[in-house]
Amino acid sequence: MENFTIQRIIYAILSLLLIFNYGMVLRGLVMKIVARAHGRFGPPVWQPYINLVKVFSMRTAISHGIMFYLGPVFRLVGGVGLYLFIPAVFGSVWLQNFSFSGDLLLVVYFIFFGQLGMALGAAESGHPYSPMGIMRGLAQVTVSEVPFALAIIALAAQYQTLSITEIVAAQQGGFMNWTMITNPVATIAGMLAFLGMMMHSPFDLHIAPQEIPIGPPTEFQSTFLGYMQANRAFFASAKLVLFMNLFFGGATSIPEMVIKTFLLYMTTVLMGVVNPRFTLENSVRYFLKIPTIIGIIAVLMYSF
Amino acid sequence: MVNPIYIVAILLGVGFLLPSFSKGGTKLTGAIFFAALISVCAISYQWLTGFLIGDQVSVMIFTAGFKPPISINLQMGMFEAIFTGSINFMALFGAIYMFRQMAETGTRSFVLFLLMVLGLNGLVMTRDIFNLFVFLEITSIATYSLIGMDLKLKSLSAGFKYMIAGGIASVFLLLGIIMLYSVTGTLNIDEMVKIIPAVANIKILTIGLFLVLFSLIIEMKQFPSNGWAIDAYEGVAPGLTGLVAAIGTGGVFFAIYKTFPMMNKDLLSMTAVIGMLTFFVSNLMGLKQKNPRRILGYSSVAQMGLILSVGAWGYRTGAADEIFMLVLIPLFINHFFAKAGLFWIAGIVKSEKYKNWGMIKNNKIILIPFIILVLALIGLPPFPGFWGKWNLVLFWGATKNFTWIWFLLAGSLIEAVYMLRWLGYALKGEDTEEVKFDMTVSKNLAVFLVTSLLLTIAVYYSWTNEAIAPIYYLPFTVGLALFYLPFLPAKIKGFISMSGIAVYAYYFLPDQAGFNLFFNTIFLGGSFFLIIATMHSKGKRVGFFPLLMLMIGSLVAMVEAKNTLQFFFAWEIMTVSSYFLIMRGKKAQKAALRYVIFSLGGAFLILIGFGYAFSEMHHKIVLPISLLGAIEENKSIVFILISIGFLVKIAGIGLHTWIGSAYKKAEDDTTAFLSSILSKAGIFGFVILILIMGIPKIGKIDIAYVLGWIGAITAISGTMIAIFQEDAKKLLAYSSMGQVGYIILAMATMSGLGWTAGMYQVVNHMLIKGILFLAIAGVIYRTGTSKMYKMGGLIKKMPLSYTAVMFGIIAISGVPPLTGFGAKWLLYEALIEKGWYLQTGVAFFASTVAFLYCFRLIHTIFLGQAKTEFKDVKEAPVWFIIPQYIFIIIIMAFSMKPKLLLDMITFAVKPIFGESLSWVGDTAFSSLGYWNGFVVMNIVMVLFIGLTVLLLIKAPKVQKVKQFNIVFAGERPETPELTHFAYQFYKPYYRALGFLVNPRVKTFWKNVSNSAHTIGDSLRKIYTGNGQTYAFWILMYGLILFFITVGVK
Repeated sequence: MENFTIQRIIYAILSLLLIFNYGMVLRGLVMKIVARAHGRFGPPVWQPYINLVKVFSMRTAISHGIMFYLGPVFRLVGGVGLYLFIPAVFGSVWLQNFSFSGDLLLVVYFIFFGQLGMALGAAESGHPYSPMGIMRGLAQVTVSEVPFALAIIALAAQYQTLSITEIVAAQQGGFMNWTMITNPVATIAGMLAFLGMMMHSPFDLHIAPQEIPIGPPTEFQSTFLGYMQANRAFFASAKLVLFMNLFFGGATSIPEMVIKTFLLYMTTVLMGVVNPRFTLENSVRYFLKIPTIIGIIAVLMYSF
Repeated sequence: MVNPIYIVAILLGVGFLLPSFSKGGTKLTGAIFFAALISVCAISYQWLTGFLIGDQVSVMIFTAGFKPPISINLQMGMFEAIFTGSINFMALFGAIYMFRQMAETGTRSFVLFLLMVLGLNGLVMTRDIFNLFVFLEITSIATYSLIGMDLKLKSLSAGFKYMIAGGIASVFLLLGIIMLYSVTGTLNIDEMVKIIPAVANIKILTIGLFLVLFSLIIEMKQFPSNGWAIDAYEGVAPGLTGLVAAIGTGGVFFAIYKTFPMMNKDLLSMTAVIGMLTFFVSNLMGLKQKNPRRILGYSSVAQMGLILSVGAWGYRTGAADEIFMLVLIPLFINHFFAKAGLFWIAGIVKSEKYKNWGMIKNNKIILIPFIILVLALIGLPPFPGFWGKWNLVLFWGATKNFTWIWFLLAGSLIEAVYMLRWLGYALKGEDTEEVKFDMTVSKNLAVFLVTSLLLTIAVYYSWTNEAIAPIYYLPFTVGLALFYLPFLPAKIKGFISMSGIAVYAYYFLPDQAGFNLFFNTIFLGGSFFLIIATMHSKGKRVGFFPLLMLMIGSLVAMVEAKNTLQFFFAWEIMTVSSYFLIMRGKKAQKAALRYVIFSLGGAFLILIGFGYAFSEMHHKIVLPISLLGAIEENKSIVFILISIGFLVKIAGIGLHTWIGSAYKKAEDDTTAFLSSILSKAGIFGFVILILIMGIPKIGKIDIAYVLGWIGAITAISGTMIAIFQEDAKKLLAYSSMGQVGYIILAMATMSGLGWTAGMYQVVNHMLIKGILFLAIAGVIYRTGTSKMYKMGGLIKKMPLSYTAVMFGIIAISGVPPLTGFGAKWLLYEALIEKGWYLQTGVAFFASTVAFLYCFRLIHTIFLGQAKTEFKDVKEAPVWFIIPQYIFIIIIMAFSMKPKLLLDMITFAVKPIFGESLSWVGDTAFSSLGYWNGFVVMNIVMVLFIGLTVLLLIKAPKVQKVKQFNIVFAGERPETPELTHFAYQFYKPYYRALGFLVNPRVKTFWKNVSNSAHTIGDSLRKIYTGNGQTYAFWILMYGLILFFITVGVK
């Protein structure tokens, strides 16, 4: 409990501000890059801020009930909480967040908190597209988690710890110590899973626009939508930081973190740009084939 | 003591004199008839008590004062007293049952009846082999004639076949006696026994012995020379059949038993094998029967086969007297009363199809004895049959006759299948008009008498064997007391039950420690709160509370059992009481049958395991459980057998097919008990088994490793099956299976952390399933359906139930900050620490798939679009809500301060496995990682409250819209209630992974069942119904046996 001090809390708030803005800018940047790839001019980099201000300024807010109302709260708590449980920059005092609350398993499981809460809220709307999107999203998560779980098990076996800080510490001392190099099989499994977790093609069926968008945000508007958009900044960044910590040596400074996470993000974006969308059956089968086999190999390497 | 010769004298004298009173009318002759029966009962009773309580020694009576061989001699010893006593009392009950029929036929039937009883008494007492023949003939002739009284074609033709078979048997017997006399020069059995070893002409002697034995085997109706008997059981009036099945075969058995000392080992072995074959095959053939009387016929034949086999086996191994008292007598008494009683009930309920027996469910006078007698017949505790089988397993185990144990229990299981199937129809079958009852007072009185006598004997056996340690009498007594208070309202009965538990816990929990304390707390505490939900009923719930208390009582009795007997006794009581609890569900007939068959199968495997254990321990009747640890030679097999028994209870993979239907069809609040409390019985079993025996290895195969995989596969299978269910209770049932799989996986690691994880999950699962099943029970109570897609949008109507389910699914899925995360954290840390990486992956996959059913459960019932038919439903009754919120409070406390719970678990686990978690403040450290539940909870709470407040400030006035106010694709649906997305919710997932949940296991068990039925069906084709065929079979069988045992040498 000596860790749970006022100073820590202030650091955590600062850390949140940093990551929020980073997330927003990253999103804007990517929109711009994708647009340029399409030959369009694209929105300004600060477009996500404009969107956020817009939705927060709406005068009406329509609610379908208490759970609907609380859904975005759950979602945002999930995103913010997730980030807070991950140490963002190795060696930095103020970017350790509340990573003393628990190890990698806590982080992995906390990912579900917001998803579950938002799913409940969205489902209360009564809009059939919401649960349909949730069904697809959840179903895909269950299988993309398989190679991911195997990858982190392999990591735990490799480093004999589940503490993220210690995993990062073990990767210090140069490029050759990164998990990417020391344990490439687990990294591949983890990265394939990562594709499934980042909501880009080919694994974006659950938020895919048909005639209108499908998925949880279908009925959410105004401030509720604002919460969800804010969450995206936290949530995506938190996941990026997590993967950077696990496989790519973590970061010892903010610029290093920015570069690494940006590259990570761009990987999924580029995959998304060049790939068509999978149906749910496709992605379920996909994840349980090659990525899972790679994951199993990663794990078996430490079993004998 | 009255000289037993008076038994003969009275029966014979009255029999001959009775016709001379016939002018005085039926009342007079009837009175004399009963006076005669009662007086012989009195004589045998005097002798019986003399032997059992006093120190009476065996006496020999010589007629006319001469010594043998001139006179005939009768013996009255302990065994004779028991047999004549049983026969005479049963004859009296039989006479009561048949009184009206006999009175209509007239005095001659009284005479025949008395002669039959005379013959049987003579068979038991005589020590002269020729007299044996004479008494056998008297019995047979009297019986044929009694059969003939019933002038029906079926009865007469059955009687005729009976005569043919009896005739052949008599010829053999007489021939055999002649040969024996020729080589021994005596007719006295005791003399013969002495002379036989010195006989020179072995050939004649052996043939003589074979003929005597074979003729009595025919009389004992052994397979396959028993077609005539089966037909007789079916065709003859049930009053008489009951008697023949009981006292007839009893007398004949005693006769054959007398000849055993003469027999050589080959013949005894042959007899033992024939008996066991009959037992097994007859039960197999019984499977296909639909006629109650024929069912009883097969069962009778089977039971007599068993008794014959055991008798011969006793002499074969030289432990005859011990086996007689400890095995034969209980088996015999059990069969004797239960079979007669059941035949008589079959005579009262006039239906030739057991499917029509549903009519008796409203007639308590018939139903209650029927239930008791069926349970007794199957050999469930506390009835004598249980003791007989228990002791038999012990003997066979001690002498390493394991194959016999397997046959015994396999046969018993098959018998249980068809008897319980019949019971199921009686309890739950449809009402049919065609069945009529014969509610004659005398008939019901007879049934009542045998049932009460059987119960009395059952209590006597349980008491003298100390089957239950005295401190457990309290819950049991409350249970039994509630049986006698059916008139009280459910709420009061619930209150009494809760008080019973509370008083018991108050007095006895403080003395306990370790795992006993842990599990007792779970059983008692969980039950205590869950009972609140059962009090919602406005009616009386007759029968529910007694069964519930018996089940709870058996759980605590199991925890504190000191020896294998007490453990098994409690285990069986638990099985039976839970079977009846499940059976209370509206359409639970098939589900309950499947449950009980699997459970009994599991229990029998445990018993076989004990049998193997006995082989090394040589303890009489009781084996302290702790001694299981000293087993060496058979360690693995004992462990495996007992484990499978426990895996049945927790629905381990391959043994899980009962769980869905049993949980679904049981009453809704009962299911909460089944999942929350009862499923932990198997876990407790594993705890003590592993603590005492460790987990052995077979060569290089570590059973712990196998068990771990069983746990992992159970977890993923249960979860996978759960997500595709349309029925809420089935979904939760399979979820239960999966969740308990984690416990097995955790315990298999055999590490402190693993066991901490397992025990944590025990508590977690108990609380969560209590909440979820009760919440769903409340929903079903209001909506009348458990099909999830028929509901929807109930959050508005049942907010409290919704909130409870929400807590439940967050906790079960392992999402922080609730307790479920602790379970997952401990589990994965333990698995990774152990190096079981692949298993960790499987568990992880299972745990994410669990999200699917969690969401489906809450969404399809509470969220989405509401159905118009449920627009007026109310919140679930408060009785359901209270225990849910108590559990939520407990969950919140443990989530906030996981140390509270973990300290309790450590208290039990640490003495065995040492320290597994270290603490700094509220942070738990394992060898791999750390977790601070308190901080996590605080962070989440602060964020949640903060962001909610922010939202309230930002959007204080939201515009609320009605449920149906949705728009999609620019269109407002005309019937929005039909847009509820619920049915086949995971269809795409099914398309991808549905192949994993193909019902392979179900198909396997179905094939097992079908094969057994088909074999039984093919075997019974030898019973053509033709007397000549039967005679042919008898002769052929005799020839074959002769060549096998005697001829070749």
